[in-house]
Amino acid sequence: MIEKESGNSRSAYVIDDGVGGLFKVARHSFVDEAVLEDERRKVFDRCWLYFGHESEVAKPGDFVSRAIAGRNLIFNRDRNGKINAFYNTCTHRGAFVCRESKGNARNFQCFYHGWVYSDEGKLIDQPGKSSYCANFNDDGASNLARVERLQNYRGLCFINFDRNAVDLETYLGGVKEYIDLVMDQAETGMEIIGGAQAYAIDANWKLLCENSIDGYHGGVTHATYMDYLANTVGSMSATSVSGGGRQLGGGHAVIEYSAPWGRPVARSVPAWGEQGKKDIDAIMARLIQKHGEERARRIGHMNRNILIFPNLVLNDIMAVTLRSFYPIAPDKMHVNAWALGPKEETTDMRERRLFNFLEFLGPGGFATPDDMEALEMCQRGYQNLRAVAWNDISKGMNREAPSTTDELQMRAFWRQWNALMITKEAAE
Amino acid sequence: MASSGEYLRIDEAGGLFKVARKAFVAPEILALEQQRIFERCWLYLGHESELPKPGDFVTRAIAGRNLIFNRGRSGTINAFYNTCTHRGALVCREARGSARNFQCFYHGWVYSDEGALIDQPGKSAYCDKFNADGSSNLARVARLENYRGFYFINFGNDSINLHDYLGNARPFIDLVVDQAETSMEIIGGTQQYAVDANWKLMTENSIDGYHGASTHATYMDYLANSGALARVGVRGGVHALGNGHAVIEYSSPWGRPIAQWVPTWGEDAKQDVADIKAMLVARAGPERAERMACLNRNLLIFPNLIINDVMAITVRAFYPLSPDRMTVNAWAMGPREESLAMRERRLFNFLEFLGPGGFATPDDVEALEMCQRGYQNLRGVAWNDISKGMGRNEPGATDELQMRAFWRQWNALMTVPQPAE
Repeated sequence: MIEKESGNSRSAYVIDDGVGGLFKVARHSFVDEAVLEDERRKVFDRCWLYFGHESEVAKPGDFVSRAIAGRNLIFNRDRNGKINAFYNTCTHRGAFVCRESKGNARNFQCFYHGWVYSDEGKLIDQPGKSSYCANFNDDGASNLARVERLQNYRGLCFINFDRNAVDLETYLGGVKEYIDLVMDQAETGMEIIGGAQAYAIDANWKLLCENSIDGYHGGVTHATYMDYLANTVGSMSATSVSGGGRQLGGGHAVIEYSAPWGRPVARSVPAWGEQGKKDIDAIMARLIQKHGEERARRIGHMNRNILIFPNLVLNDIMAVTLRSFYPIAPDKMHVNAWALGPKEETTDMRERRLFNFLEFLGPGGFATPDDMEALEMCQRGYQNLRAVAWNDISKGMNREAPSTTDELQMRAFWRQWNALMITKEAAE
Repeated sequence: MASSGEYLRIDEAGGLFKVARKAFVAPEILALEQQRIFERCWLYLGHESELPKPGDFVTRAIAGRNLIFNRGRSGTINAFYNTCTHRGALVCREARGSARNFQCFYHGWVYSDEGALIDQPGKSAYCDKFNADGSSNLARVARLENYRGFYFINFGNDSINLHDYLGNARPFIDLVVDQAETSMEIIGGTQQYAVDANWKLMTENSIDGYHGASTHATYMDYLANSGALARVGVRGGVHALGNGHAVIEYSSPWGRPIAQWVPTWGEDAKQDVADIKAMLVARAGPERAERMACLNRNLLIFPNLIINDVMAITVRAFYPLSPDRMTVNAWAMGPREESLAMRERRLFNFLEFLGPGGFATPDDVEALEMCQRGYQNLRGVAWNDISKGMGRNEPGATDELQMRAFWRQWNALMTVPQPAE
């Protein structure tokens, strides 16, 4: 099933030498202002970008406001139940029409001059309306502007700033199989579990793409967590991390593997006790009934770190996290992360999930502080750019079946990134 | 008539006036503004009352320059570049004071309050005729002119004179200055603050009658609940005055030290206000007195001087540090002869509404910063709407004629063909 690596190309950014078994990435890609400027146009203005999950706007009027690729946007469900993506800016003089990060509102009123927009984006009132010409906004030009594209795959809502982009399902292509494996864990649908982790890292955004699907660093960077698992949780130390990596086309990639930790869907560990084992057996039985033995075991027992190009990470491990991040500068990114779980989950199992989530993931977990330190050290290492100009991403280059701790999945990201970045833009 | 340019889209028949949001964002536009606006227009430097005695000075940053505004020993008011002609250090590092001489602290060169280089340590090491041509004196700003106590500078030599530049704005300056029997003075101290927004947002905001009710709802509620003249709503007219200057003039529910009484001031104040009004009538006649006393004026002198004659008088100027940041200076102004009690009411009004601790300015700062952040969506939403009142015969104080006046002049200067170099 592993796609053959056929790399044989060279650009200012990437040396992909399939014959010599070498894959190099130019470090200036992490440092240059000009590269970031190009990324804004060629990557973030062209790709489908994760915006939010439909469960975040469960009821009519629900909204969240969010910064995506340098824009400020409103994600909401209107009175008709339709999900929308609007630019958060008054069409009058530009102020935010929504200054809250989440809530429920039938209308958005700009606090500067009081223009009012419905939850469907229509300009429905302006103080002093009689001062405007009678046909003002007949063409709808003064309604809230909609983001050019908005599509949903299994509850994940994506936007695209490019009207001419391929549709979302075509864009996702081979990664849909893995999104399905995560979403099929739930009987009634997955939901974002209240709250977001928001933090910043002084490192280039692509370092977090690599890191989020990197099976190679775990044993070294997260030694503390691995020791903790082996010594205190009573997990089965016989189960080491084993599995494989795949490139899925379009820059999407995944590693899929077994691991020693407990999974709320659905793998118990001794630390969860007898009750935990019973709960997990019940979940697994339902999975088998619905999906058959083989798929159920894959859904329940295997872990998946999925990268949806360019910057959505869906990690289905000891808990499920959705994570996306945007560059503020070449050496700074903002990260948003959310926990995802089945709507029908019991309180006990939800507690185990959230314990796992917080224990490993996020700014207070075992892993994220380790990772941040690693990424910031990389970024500082790139200050030596002129002496040491290239990163090495060669691990597993010539293997028949690259493993989870190889770097195939990162090469998949870089090949797509490179392809977009070296595209000549059409003359305007 | 419809016109469509890089910065403005105007459709007179359709009643639409649009301003490109990139004008608030692009660094190259700011660079062009520095050349075509701030180096060509008359810019407010200070008020003569800030320099009552020979030797008095203030230092001020104007359009990216550091300047000294002072009164020399002979009584002349000067505008110097604050830089030593030797190696460039600031020769004056104080914000204000009184000094007969300015000594550079680096190598000790000394300049008189009239700018002449009068001493250099180790003078004998220079040639005899050093500075015989005066080229090592403090450099003067190219132009310095005054209208009724307001001093303006111009960095170019070929501008029209200040009197003509102010043009139709002069009668409105007169309506403010004539409130004093003696003269107007800046009341001690400066409000200084910074806003993370483009400077032109402050120009618009300072003469914007449309945002008051929504942005300043807290203040309006407070007025209504604390005994203001609830029956008097904000209403009035608006004038484009040429050269980009504009004004709104309107009645309002708040008290005016000259001269509108409100119940919160108490019965004592009633007589004070009546006395002031009577003197105004005696000097200016009943009609003009009524206009001066009971109408408010938000006056823009293009490009960035605001004289707002509202519940108090504020003089405000601001300069861009970058496309998304400005520094603001604001001063209170009042008649020199004002009684202690009325001065207290004036300053209470001033601080209550204006400035970084007032009811209004924090609201406005939030609004302007939200606009600037909204412009991050520039590529999704590229134009502002300034159409309000376009189709009306007589636009009101809550329309946007005055902003259109600013933008038309701004656009004219920014797009004027440049002579070949």
